[in-house]
Amino acid sequence: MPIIEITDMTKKFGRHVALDRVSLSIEEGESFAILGPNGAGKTTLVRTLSTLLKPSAGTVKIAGFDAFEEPERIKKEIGVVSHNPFLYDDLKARENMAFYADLYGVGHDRVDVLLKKVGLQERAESLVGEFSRGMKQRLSIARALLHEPKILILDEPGAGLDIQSKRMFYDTIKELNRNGTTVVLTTHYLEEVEELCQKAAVLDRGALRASGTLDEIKGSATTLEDAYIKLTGGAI
Amino acid sequence: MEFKRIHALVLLGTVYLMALYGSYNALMVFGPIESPTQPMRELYRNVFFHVPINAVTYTAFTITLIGSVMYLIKRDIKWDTLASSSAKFGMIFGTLTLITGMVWAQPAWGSYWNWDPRETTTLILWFMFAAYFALRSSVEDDEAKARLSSVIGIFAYVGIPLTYISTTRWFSLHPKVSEFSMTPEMGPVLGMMILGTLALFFYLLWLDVKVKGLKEAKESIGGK
Amino acid sequence: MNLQKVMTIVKKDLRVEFRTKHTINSMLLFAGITLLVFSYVVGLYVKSVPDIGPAILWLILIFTGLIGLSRAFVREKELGTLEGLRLAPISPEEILGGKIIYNFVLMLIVTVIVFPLFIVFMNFPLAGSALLALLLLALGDLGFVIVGSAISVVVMNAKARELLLPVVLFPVLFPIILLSVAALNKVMVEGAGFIDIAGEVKIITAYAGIMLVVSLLTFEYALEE
Repeated sequence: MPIIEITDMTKKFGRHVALDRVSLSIEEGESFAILGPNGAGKTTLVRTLSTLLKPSAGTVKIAGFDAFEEPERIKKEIGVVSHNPFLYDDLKARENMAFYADLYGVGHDRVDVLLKKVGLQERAESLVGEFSRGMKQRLSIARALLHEPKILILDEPGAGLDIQSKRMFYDTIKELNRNGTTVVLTTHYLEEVEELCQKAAVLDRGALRASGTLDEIKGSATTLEDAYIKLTGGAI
Repeated sequence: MEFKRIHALVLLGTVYLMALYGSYNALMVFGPIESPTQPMRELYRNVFFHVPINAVTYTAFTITLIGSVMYLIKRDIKWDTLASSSAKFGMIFGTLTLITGMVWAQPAWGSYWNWDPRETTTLILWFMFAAYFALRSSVEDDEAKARLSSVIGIFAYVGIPLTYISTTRWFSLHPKVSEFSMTPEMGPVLGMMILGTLALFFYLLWLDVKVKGLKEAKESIGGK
Repeated sequence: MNLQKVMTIVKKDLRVEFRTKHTINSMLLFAGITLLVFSYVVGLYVKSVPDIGPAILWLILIFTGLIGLSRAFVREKELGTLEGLRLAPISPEEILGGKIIYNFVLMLIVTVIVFPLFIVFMNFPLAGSALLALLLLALGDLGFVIVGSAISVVVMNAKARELLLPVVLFPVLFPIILLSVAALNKVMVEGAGFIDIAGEVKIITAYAGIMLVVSLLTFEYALEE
């Protein structure tokens, strides 16, 4: 049974249709990329998967729970990392982690384990406001992993990261994926997709253009980029 | 469509006849009443207009409440259209309620504004719905506008009885005001005026909702 | 409603606030300067200070409270952490509960500091019990933060939200403003005891209770996007 199953989902904002009858299923343990130009509906799709938005029509099932009926149950199964780290600048790294640990009902011993994992144990008592973008993003991953989510949702996480942070970030995600965590990623960097994901879906103007393994998406094209440009009509 | 138009015409005709009959009686048939103050002997006729207008004001805001609650449950923009249209007429009739009330209050109680519980409550109601429209005009997205103003519509409605209770308590410190009692033949005329004015309100509401629906349809097919 | 989660929010907000003290300092400074201006003007032109004193005190407090209310949620929205809260397994009601308590704590601090300053600077001849007056103010604060916390979220997504908050909030607050001032007058000017203001206290409590229910029921919709 797929861990994420989207059936005929439509999301409208007023008269604007952001997603038009999208159907997609992601198996447990897969690493899945959602691609598309700006305004294609990627963010809307990811926000729906994170229970932040309710679909206007169709169904979304995540880890066996309906996104409409039981969003509270889904929240415990997903971890979200976006370009916004969801961290309090005026709290120390450890305080931020402890706060989220309390919200998720996780013991504080996980906090130190994860701080160490992302290489921030020495900055645990520093204010997050003093952190660089890369450090914030690393702490954000630690935050998202507190409750050991089955699904990790990454919304353009690589944007603006330095090379070291990016390397560490990729390694962490690959390790998690190897250990069975399902990864859903949106990004503009195709090399990120080729490095991290086995499967992908391409969205354009609210509709699903293609989905499958990276080879299937490439089809006759030589590179993923060529295939992507073809699928999205080369539109800017 | 034709069916609805006939309904509207019947409604409008009823309004006209009822209001005509009521106004005729109120202004021409009834004589002056006994009152120690001269202006009151004739001015009591104001009641036949003030009370129906007031009834419409509160009916309108009740419909806004219903529209707001239904919008939050059903998420159909039609309910929000109903709520905001009704609130608009509530504001208009509320303004008229305040004016006709002040015209009455001057000779009856000595000044145009007395902080009488009913005056105060209606004024606060007026401000609540003015705020409702202030909020609507400063939210861009149609869905958010409908959702947020629905929440405020509910707060406002719940606030009204609480305002009335608190003002009554405060006002009890003040001298009791004189009222006038109606003669038996005045009752039915007042009832007719209330029904007629309510029918007028429902007719206006129906028209307004219909116009908004047409505008919406026109925009969605891309017309100018 | 999980009380532990509510308190997690309260503790976090107090920790964030007292690390920088931006909000509480602004509130106290605003209350201080308004108090001084009132004290000066009233001293010059008003013959009977006690008659208008309680009304002035209460108005200073709710205008000060607006500063706290407008920051509590907006700070989270600007920082993006509101989304973090919405992603976490915590219900909208628990978030609201936490914010109400947090705002209440700020208001209590302001009230406890402003009240004695008010007595001193207004040269106010306090007739009744200071403790009773403070308890009454605390009750008024509670009603204020309940309605205010919920409505501050409703206006949060509007343009010019700072301007809109008092416009939307004050009509709904009217009963509590009226009754608090009436009861405060009885205590501070006439020296009334608890029995004499029991009626007002009952209605203020009922108001706070009813508005709490309305806030909890509608908050989910206000927080959506």
